[in-house]
Amino acid sequence: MSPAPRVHVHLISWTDEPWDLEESLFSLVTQEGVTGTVSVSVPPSLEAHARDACARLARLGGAVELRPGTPPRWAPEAEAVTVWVAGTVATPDHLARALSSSGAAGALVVAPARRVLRRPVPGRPPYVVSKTRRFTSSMPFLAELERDPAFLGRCLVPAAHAPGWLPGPPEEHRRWAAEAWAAGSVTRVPGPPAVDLPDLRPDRRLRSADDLRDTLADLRYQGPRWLERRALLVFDRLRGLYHRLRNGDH
Amino acid sequence: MARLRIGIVLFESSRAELERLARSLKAAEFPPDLRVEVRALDNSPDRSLEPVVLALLGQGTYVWTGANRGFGATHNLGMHDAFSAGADGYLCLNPDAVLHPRCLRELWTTATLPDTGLVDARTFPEEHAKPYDPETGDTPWCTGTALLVRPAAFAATGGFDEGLFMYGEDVDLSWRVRAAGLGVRTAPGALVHHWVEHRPLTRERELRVLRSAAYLGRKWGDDRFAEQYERLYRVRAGREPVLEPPPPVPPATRRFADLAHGVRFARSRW
Repeated sequence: MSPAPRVHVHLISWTDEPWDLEESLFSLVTQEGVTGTVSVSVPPSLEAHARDACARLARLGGAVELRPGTPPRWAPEAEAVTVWVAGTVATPDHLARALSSSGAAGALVVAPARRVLRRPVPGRPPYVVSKTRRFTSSMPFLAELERDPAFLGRCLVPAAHAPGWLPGPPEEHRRWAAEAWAAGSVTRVPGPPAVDLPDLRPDRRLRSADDLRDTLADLRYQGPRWLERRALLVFDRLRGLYHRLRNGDH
Repeated sequence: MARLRIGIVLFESSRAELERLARSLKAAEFPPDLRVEVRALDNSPDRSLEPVVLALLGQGTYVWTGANRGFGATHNLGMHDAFSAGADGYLCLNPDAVLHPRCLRELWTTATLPDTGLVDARTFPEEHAKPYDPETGDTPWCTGTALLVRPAAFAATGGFDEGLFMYGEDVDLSWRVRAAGLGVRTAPGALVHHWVEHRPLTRERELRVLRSAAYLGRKWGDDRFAEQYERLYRVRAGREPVLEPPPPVPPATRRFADLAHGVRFARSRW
């Protein structure tokens, strides 16, 4: 049996919220079908917590090596690279599915995602207020994604196209992504949302056609569920339609 | 020293699944004044899991129940044993779950708040959409994936309603615990990895969900709710659902039930 492909995940925390780090690390150590190298870059106030969290979660025995600190570049043995902002969480098959969607051509892949609005709670994990589906076009443009500061968490870049450095602050994420986009083709991972991105937008007003498409993508999911609660038997008759809407690509 | 018994109900569970769970139990952190013991309750047709379980769980104990009694009835056996032996809490834990290393500590902290009857862990990576109060942890109902039951809750209710074979028994227990005046809470810092979204909705599973929904509707006095699910059951199964008469719920306590949100049993946050 050939070894599982290796992915380098650079996990970066932009805030002092320890729970965001904890949840992203828990999500990474429970990924299946890949081996991982996770470098963990945090503000000085979180360094001790990050070391403890890495040691704690390594005991779960996932196929992931946790390395506190920022390396000069991603692990040379990695087949693909991604950058997560703390608070990002993915389904356990996300990295493996994204890698297989990359195909022989080694396209940069973008997974369907939800935007997670949270409310900070002192001394406790942030409270999740809502999760909303994002629209993802079949060949996603960078402009469509980068309205979410944490957007790189839904992108997986083949090593051959990944910039040779790791980004830190938000503006570097955009520059890193622009270099990756320029290096090869881009495609979308099929299926329902696999990644939850923390909503870190400074301005949440509807401002563009892309925002409207996000709203419609979420309505396409929520509408049938509203009908299911209100009129179960009518909903059941429209079940086939519901499954096409729920599981369709968006 | 306080004692927490972890009960794990098995039914032909896979070795890989049990290995993941065992690793997370070994990695678990809990307060020094809490003693944790693990008991596997195996509903499988034979005892072939016994050596696997004993090798993986180390200090844990194994009980073969001899029949597939269902989730609630088997945990009732476990709770009866645990509380008779003086346990201060019983954690119903799914075999396909993985505890975050801090999960037990966080669950226990919330469980020891005054008046707490039930505490659930937050499912991960797909958190349940039911709401909870971020300050107090109060929630309409607790999920059964990693559900800590305090002795007072068991004493007040007798545990799960055994008329529910699978699905909905956690909802029903939560409503009865709240009706008994005890707190039903989520421990937000207690994460339990339990990923079931990718599993196909088999006919058997769907029929169990429909039957449980109909049973809850009858039990908690909402006949319209029950009829919808009974009708859907008939469409799917081609026969009437077999519903034993549920134990009566006093009309005054029906206000604790929420049947206005379908089988989510609470307002959804998303």
